[in-house]
Amino acid sequence: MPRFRHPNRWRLVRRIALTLGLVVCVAVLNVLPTKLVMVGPPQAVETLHPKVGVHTRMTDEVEAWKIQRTCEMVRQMGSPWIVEYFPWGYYEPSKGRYDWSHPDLVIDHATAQGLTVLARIDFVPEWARPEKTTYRHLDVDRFGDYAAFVAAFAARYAGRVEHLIIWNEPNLSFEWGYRPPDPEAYTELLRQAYLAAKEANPDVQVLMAGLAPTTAPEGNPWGLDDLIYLQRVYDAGGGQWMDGLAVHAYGLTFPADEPPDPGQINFRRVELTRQVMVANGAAEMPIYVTEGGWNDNPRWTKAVRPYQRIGYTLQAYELAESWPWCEAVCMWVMRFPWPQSTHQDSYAFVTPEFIPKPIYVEVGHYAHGEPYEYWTE
Amino acid sequence: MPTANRTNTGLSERIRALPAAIRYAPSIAAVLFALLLWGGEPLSELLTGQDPVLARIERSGVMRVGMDASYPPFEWVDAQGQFRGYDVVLARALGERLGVDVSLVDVHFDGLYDALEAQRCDLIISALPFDPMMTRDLGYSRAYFDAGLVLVGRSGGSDIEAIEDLAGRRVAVELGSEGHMLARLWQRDKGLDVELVVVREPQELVASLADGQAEILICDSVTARCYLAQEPSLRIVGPMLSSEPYVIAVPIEATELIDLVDEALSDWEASGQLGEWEERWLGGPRLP
Repeated sequence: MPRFRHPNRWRLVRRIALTLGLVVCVAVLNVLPTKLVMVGPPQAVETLHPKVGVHTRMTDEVEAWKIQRTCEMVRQMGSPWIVEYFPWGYYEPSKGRYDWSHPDLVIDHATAQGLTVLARIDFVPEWARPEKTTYRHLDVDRFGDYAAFVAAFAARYAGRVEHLIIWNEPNLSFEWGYRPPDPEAYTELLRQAYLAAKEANPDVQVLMAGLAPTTAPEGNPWGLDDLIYLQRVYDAGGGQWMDGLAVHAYGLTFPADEPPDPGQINFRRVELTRQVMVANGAAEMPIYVTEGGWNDNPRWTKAVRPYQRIGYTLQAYELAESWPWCEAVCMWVMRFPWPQSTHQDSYAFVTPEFIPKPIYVEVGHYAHGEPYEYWTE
Repeated sequence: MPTANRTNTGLSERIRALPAAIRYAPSIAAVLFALLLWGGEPLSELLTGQDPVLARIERSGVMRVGMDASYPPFEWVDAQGQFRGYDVVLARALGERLGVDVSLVDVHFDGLYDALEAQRCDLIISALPFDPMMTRDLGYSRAYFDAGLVLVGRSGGSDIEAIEDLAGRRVAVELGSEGHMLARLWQRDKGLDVELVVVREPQELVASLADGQAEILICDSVTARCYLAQEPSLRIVGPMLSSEPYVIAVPIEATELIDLVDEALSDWEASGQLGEWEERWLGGPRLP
């Protein structure tokens, strides 16, 4: 005797089963791709030159496998260091409500590949700034909110991220919310962030922001000379609120060994930064080059040819070997998630499609002591 | 007291008896007046539905154009400190069309969008590529130039007409250039069997065609125009290999301004003016 005597009931059951089956299929399809990207066993970076580093840009990278591939390629290049940007506004969409899913992904993959992460933190959420201001506008009465986020970040990633960079290029007007650069105000921001970070994780190293290399004099509406800015931070007592200094070292059109000159931007300007530190009693404090390098755009007036860029970059890594006070040289930039269609693409080591550029190949050869493929002296 | 009550009740009744429009007119007027005082000009523009950016330009008589003047032939500053280039001419022509002066604001490329947000400029004309990620916050014009990659070959010297014809052929690229990376992508993803002739300097690209080392080369359309201007025996082969459209950007609320910009670009396109400017600043004829 049939269990369901009524044929409509049997049809209903079949429909429910079919629907449930479809729901399960959709759920599996949604979940499967993320499950396939496993962090994997811990890896170690093999390199003959442990100061080699690169700034990654996984901030807007959505797909986990691309984050993983980026970190793998950094490791394979022989770079133990990365700088990554963690925008406060992405991860604290409203006051006190955190979403760590994306930074977890980045840090899980980076640390699994044996990379040391220097975390740059800025980008003001909308709730922490007045309307019609830019993402770099932070008023003094909101410094505490930023410091609280830095502390939350430091606590969450204690033991995995031990270097925090407080803000980015505050000596440029546009990086300071299109207001005149204000070293004294920045020093207060640094103080609050330092104290909060140390309370959350006493082992964390707090780095002063990398300043934009510029010779803009006092009163210039767009920026302030990085050497003057740094001195003013020291004058404001900032030296006690940092464990190290992030430095941006761009070579523009000059070779890496071009002698430093206060009136000129070149790679060795980092030595002038060091002089300011020494003059202020910070000779023991380490420097981390967290951005730098050369651009090989065919039309930008501040660019060089791609083969020159390879030579200058290798020369820069080599030069840093002779700087005992320099811990790492992280060149801008490993890869963008999508083409920028601007001169920024010409800073990348790898294309968005993961095609390694010759500079990536040659830095890898340098790091591993192998013969060069493209570069000849 | 009862008398007073009766009097008040009578006034209320008389007011209630008035038509609603008259009854609430004083209150509405007071609120509007207060809002006008509070909001100033932007509010008046809001109430009249006027584009605030265009209104500001018209009020001041100056259109502030943001550009990073380090990108010839589109914009750069010459030895005399003068702005020069295609975008500079475009900006000035736009100002002339709107009947206002033009002030060029030199901003580092990375700060251009923020400069617009912070109202340091009214629009951006700076070899600016269209960015689909920014369309929530910005208005973009139609494209006035495409800086994508192209194939350049010798006139009558080759039967190559499309990417598919490149299999087994010798293709010159500059080391590390976008063209080089595109060819590598073809090799990896399309399995295209091209033989790459990798040179160090751009001028070696054309030389490689002349001496027969390569049959065709890949470069961006700006560079290609220079080659064509210098060497008439060269030609662009096939359609563009990639697209990098340059556009003008305005704040999202500049709805009238962007219409005027689009109208101007369309007119200049139709009249051949864009082609003339391209020929003057880029060299070589306008690409189809």
